Parts: sequence; C-alpha cells; structure tokens
Amino acid sequence: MRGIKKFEAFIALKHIRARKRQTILSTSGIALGVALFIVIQAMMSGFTDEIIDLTITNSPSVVVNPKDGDEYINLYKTLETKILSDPRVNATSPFLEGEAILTHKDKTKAVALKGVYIEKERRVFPLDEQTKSGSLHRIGYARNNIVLGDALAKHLEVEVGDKVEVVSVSGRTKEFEIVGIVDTGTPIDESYALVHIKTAQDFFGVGDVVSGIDVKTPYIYEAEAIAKEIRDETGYNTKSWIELNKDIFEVIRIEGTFTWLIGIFVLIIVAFGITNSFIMMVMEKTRDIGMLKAMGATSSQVRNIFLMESVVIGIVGVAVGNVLGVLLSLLLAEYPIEVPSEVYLVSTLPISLHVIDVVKISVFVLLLSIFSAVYPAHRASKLNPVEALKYE
Amino acid sequence: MSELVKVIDLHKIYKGDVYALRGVSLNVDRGEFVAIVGVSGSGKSTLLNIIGLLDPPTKGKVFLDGVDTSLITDNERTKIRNEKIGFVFQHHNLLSELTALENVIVPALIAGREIEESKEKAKMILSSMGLSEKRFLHRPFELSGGEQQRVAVARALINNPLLVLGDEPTGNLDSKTSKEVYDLMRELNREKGITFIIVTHNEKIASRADRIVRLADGIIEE
Ligand SMILES: Nc1ncnc2c1ncn2[C@@H]1O[C@H](COP(=O)(O)OP(=O)(O)O)[C@@H](O)[C@H]1O
Ligand SMILES: [Mg+2]
Repeated sequence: MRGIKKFEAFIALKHIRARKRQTILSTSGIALGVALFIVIQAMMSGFTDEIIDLTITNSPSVVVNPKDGDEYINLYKTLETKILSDPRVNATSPFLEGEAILTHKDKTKAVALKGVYIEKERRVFPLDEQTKSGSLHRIGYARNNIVLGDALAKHLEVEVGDKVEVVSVSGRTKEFEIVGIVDTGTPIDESYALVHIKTAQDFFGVGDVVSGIDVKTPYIYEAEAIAKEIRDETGYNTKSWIELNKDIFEVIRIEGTFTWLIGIFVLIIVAFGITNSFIMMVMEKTRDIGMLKAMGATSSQVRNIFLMESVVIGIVGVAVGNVLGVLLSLLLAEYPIEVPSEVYLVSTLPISLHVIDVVKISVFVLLLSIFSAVYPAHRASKLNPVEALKYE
Repeated sequence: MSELVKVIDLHKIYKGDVYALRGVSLNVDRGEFVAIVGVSGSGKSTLLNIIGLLDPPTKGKVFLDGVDTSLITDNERTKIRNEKIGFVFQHHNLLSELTALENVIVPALIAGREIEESKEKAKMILSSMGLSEKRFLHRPFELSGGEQQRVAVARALINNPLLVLGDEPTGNLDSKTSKEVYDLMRELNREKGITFIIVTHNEKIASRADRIVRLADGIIEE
C-alpha cells in the first residue's frame, strides 16, 4: 500500500492550475447550477409557505357536513354546542350554501351564495382584516344586503352601494344591495357572495337548516383528530383543512417535484460539460499518462488523479454556488419580484431559504461532479502505456 | 550474479500479423552500457518496451535482477518499473504543467516519498548534470532540448534505478548537444555503475558503447 495520495494530489492540483480556462469553466458551471438551484428552491419554498399560510387562514380547520344521503343538517345548534365543548375548538360558524347566479347590467357570474351569522363567521375567518370597503355587519341589518369578493365585484363592475340581481337554480330572483367587499387574497374572491343565514334560508326556500358548520381551532395539526372525533361521536361527515385543500397540496407537491427536475436537468447539462472537458483533458494528456505509467504509476493512481480534480472542482463550485445562491436569495427577499396576483395568488415572490435544501443540493451536486469524472478517469486508468507514449 | 537483464527467445507479434521480434535473446550485465541500433522498424522500441516491462512479449521470457517477470503480477511489474528502471524517451518526456524540479520528483512521489525531501535530492542530481539553478523552476517549454533531456535523465535517476532505458534519447538534439547528453549518461554509467540500454540511430554514439546490439527485422545480427 502506498497509503497517502500525495502523488495524485500533486498532479491533480498542477492540472487544475495549468488548465485555468477549463477549471474556471467547469467550476463556474457548477457554481451557477447550484446557485440557480438554490434560488429556485428558495422561491418554491417561499411560495409554498405562503400558499399554505393563505390556505390555513382562509379555510375552516374542520368542516362538518350532513350525514350521508342528507342535504342539510337540521339540529345544528345542538351540534354546535357539542363541537364547542371540545376545549381545542374556539369557534364554529354554521352556514347555508347554494348555487346562484349574480347579474349586474350585462355581467354575469355563477357563485356559491353563502348565508352565515356574521358574528360567528368572523370568528372562523379573518374577515375584518379582509374587508376592503363597506361593512360586513350590515348583512344582518336587511334581508337584501350582500357582501362580495373583490375579484367578483371587479368582474361584475360593481361597488358598495350598487345593486345586483341574484337568481337561484330554481329560478327565484331577488335584488341585493352590496354592503361590503372582501379581499381574501385567494381565488375564493372570484365567487364569494355572503348574506345573512336567514336571507339564504328564505332565498333557497328551506327552513332553519344549514348545509354545514365551519370549525376553527388554533391547533391546526389537531384538526384531523378533531374531525375524526366529531365524525365518530355524531355520525356527521367531516373534513379537515388538509382534506379540503388536497388539490392545492397536490399542486404544491407537483411543483416541488418540478422544481427539482428543472434543477437536476440544468445540473445534468453541467455534468455533461464536465465529463466532456475531462475526456478532452484525458486525450490531451495521453502521452503524460503513458509516461506516468511507465514511471510506475498504477492504474488506480492515474484514476485518482482525475477523480481528485473533480472533487476539487466540485467542492469549489459548490462552495461558490452556495455563496452566490444564498446571496441572491437574500437579495430577492429584500427586493422581491412582483408578480400578477391573479396568477400566483401572491403579489410578490416570497423567498424562504431552508438550510436542509442547501445541504441536499450541495451533496447532490458534489456527487454529480465526481460522478461526471468517473468515466474519463476510468478511461485514463485503462490506457496502455506503450500506446499512450506513441500518441502525438 | 552480475547479469541484470536476461531475455530469452523473445517474440512479439502485433495485431495484423506484424512480426516485430522474432526470437531475440540478450544478456546485459550490471554496469554495462549497451547500444541498440538498427533501421527504423527493426524492432528496437519493441525490445526496449518489453525489457522495461511496458509491454508483454508474445513468447519468451524477461529476467530482471534474477526475477522471472512473467511470473509476477501487473502491480509488481509496475513497482519494478518505479523502483528499478528509469525511462528516457525521444521527446515530450516531461509533464508540461510541472517545473523542471517538479518533473524530476514525479517517480519519487509515485513511490510515496515526501515532496520536500525529494526536491532536495532532485536539486543535487540536476546540479550534478550541469543544469543551472535558475532553470529548476522553469517549465519544459522554457528549456532547450538539451536541458529537457537532462531533466528527463535526472528524473530517470531519482529513485536510484539499476537500469536506465533510453529510446533515442538524443534523437531530437543537434549533434553537439546530443554528444553532451550522451557523455553525461556515460559518466553516470561509469561513476555510479548504473546499467544503460540505449536505442540510437547515431553510429558515432553507438560506437562508444561497451557493446552494440544490431537489430534487423526482429532478430539480432551477429
Ligand atoms: N502497436 C503496434 N501495432 C502493430 N504494429 C506495430 C506496433 N508497434 C510497432 N509495430 C510494428 O512493429 C515493427 C517494429 O516496430 P518498432 O519496435 O517501433 O521499431 P523501431 O523502434 O526499430 O523503429 C514495425 O514494423 C512497426 O510498424
Ligand atoms: Mg522506435
């Protein structure tokens, strides 16, 4: 055993220093790939965190729905009392929801008309902070008052004080006055129409029944357990916020995967570049390799020379990439990019940098850069010295 | 036993039925200076490469320092090349990224020796060859052909080999420089007792060897 790899390190460092252009090219390729990957990942995490936050804010923790086969919950007040007896639950809001079509002049939009007790509703949803204009309380004052989401109001080209016509599926028509506009910052705003629960019950022609009860708990990770307990104890169907927003989380998961795929794709291109540059180097160095072997360098020593070069290039590239990526992320956190909120739900791209992501990316890229030298290094190690020495 | 190299009935057949060697037997004693001559394509390089354990013969045996080299492993042959044999080739011998001094220590580093200690030794060898100290830190392209070959000879000597093999080591040099490098090798042979086997085209140089081996068409002419 020749033990310590001084010889390999010596030659490897000489190669790296002598081939400045290729070294810089490979290193900066890795660095840019890593930096890009880190920034994309930070954006993705920031976006995900923000969406989850928005989702949690604008969802009930649990929603209680009618039993299988039923359309409504009849004895909802007893049920509410029962649910509120759980100390983890801090608010409930029964609602009656039905489809309706809103019309103003030549503009029309289908909505889910939701009737609520506003005092209860605002304890489940942060409606007070989200009120853009008017006053939500006024839906309790008169039976033809209505609150709209801001995107819906914009679509119908209406403001507080304007009148809209509401048509039910059964063909009932009623005129409402807009008393408030709400901005939740989510797509809910496109079809949000809120009235008093009695108004909704009259409009849809039902008695004192509800189509569900929204439940709020500050212990969001208890929501599933609470949902299950309510279901088991009362027989009503329930869903937690996680189930309610399954689609959103699925989209986030797919986007996360997509982010990694883009990053990996970029880095694989970089890796091909490195492999290529190493193959060229091995070709250029054919005579040298022949000479080294003639002088007694073993195949594994020759292989190690090239692998060591890739390790050095990889480490330097990843280190520079980390610095660049983190700096760029911090810069973007400080000066966020503005995006159209209709598309992205948020108005600026939030940034959230997780150490674990940076570590994952770094390890992955380091392995990739070593991996990209494996084949060229193997080729170098297998060179026949006599043939190599004849190479011009 | 004063026999350092003993080759018996060497044959080398390359792909495409090229008979490069057709039964070469040769003994070289310790301390001998042997010149191998012959026209181009007569098998000189092939013979030298086989003696230097760079290439296996198709048939026949090579004994080095009493060891039957056909009976040992690849790694052991590699080790013998590193420890007991020095090589000097015709051109582009040196690694272009390394200084003269660094080139000389490569075989020592391969053997696992320390850089600094090897450099001290290399300086002594280079000085004894008349290479001026300011050249030590020059890269090969900054050296003349004669200087490059001196560095190559120095490198061949760094591990105190028993045998130095030269394949037209002065083939690229003008006759004056060629003679100087040759004289240097002759001197090393006389003073240190190192065995030299040198392939050369130059009859004048060959004539001053202890022995001339003439190759023609893959066999030795008597
Ligand atoms: N790798 C090889 N493959 C095929 N033929 C070869 C190879 N190496 C040498 N030869 C042939 O073997 C013969 C001897 O070559 P060589 O030993 O290089 O001669 P010299 O060194 O005397 O010029 C030549 O005919 C040459 O073309
Ligand atoms: Mg030849």
